[in-house]
Amino acid sequence: MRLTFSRNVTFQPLAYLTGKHKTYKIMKTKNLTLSMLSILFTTFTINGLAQESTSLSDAQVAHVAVVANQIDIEYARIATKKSKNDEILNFAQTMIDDHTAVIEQASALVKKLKVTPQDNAVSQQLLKDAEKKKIELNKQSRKNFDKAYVDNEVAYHKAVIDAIEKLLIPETNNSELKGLLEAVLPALKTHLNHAISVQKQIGG
Amino acid sequence: MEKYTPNTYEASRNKTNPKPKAGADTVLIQQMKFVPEVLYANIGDTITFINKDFVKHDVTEEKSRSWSSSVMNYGDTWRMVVSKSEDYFCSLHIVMKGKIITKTNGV
Repeated sequence: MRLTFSRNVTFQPLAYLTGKHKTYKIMKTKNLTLSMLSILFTTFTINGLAQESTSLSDAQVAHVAVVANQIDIEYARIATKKSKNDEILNFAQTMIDDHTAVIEQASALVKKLKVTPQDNAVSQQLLKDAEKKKIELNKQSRKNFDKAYVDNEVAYHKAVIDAIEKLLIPETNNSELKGLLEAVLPALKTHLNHAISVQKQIGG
Repeated sequence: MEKYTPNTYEASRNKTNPKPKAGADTVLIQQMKFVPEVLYANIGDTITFINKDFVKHDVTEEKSRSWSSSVMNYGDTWRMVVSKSEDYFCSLHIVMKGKIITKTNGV
C-alpha cells in the first residue's frame, strides 16, 4: 500500500537526499509492524521482535541510517544549549561532527548509487520517539540535564549499534551500502564507550 | 579535499608535505584506533600520524595536554619528534588512546 502526504521538513539532510522537500512517499514496510519497531527503539532491545521476517529495501535502509544520525545531532544541539559541563559539551560537539560526517558519506554514496532514500515505518517510529525524547530533555533542569542527556546517549547508541548489526546490515543488498554501515560501527562503539566514560565522570 | 569513500584508503593529502610512506614510525588513525596502539621509537625519531577515518581526530598528549596535533581531517598528516615515552589520546574521542615508548627506556 502506498500513502502520499505532505509534511513539514524538519530534517534537511533527508530533503536534500530525496530532492523532494515537502512530500514523502510512504510504502508500508512488508512484515514490519509498528509494534515491533516500538519494541526495537523504545525499549532499546531487539529481543522482543516477533519471529516474522523483516524486509527493508536498500533505499529504506539508507533513510533509516540518515535519520538515526540526524536524531543524535539534534540531541547534541540541545546539550550545547543546556549544559555547562565541559565533558558533556565536548562529547556533544563530537556527536555533531561525527554524525554529520556519516550523513555526508551516506549522501555521497546514495548519489553514486542513484538510490533515493525512501521513508518508511522504521524511520517514522525513530522520529516519533525522538520528538518525545527531545521534549523530555528540554524540560530538564540544569542540575538534571547532564545525567539525562548522557544516559540517553548510552541507551541510544546501544540501540543503534544493535539495529545496525542485527537489522540494517543483514537487510542490505548493496555491498557498498553494507560497507558504509560496517564502517560506521567502530565510530558508534567509540561513541558508546565515550558516553559511558562521561557518565562515570559526572556520577551517573 | 577528495571525499572519503568506504574501503579506499589513500595516502596523505597534506599539501605542504610530500606523501609519507607507511613505515615503522607511522601511526595510522583508522577505525577509531591508533594503529599500532603502542609504537616503539628512538629519541629523535619522527613519527607520522595519518588520519584514515572520515571523522576528525587529533593526537594530544594525555597527561597534561602538553602537545597536540589540532584537528585532523581525513587524509591529514601530522608529525612529531620523539623526546620521551608518552601516552596520548584523541581529545575528540577520549577513549581512543595510544602510547609511544622510547627504545632507550630498556625496551
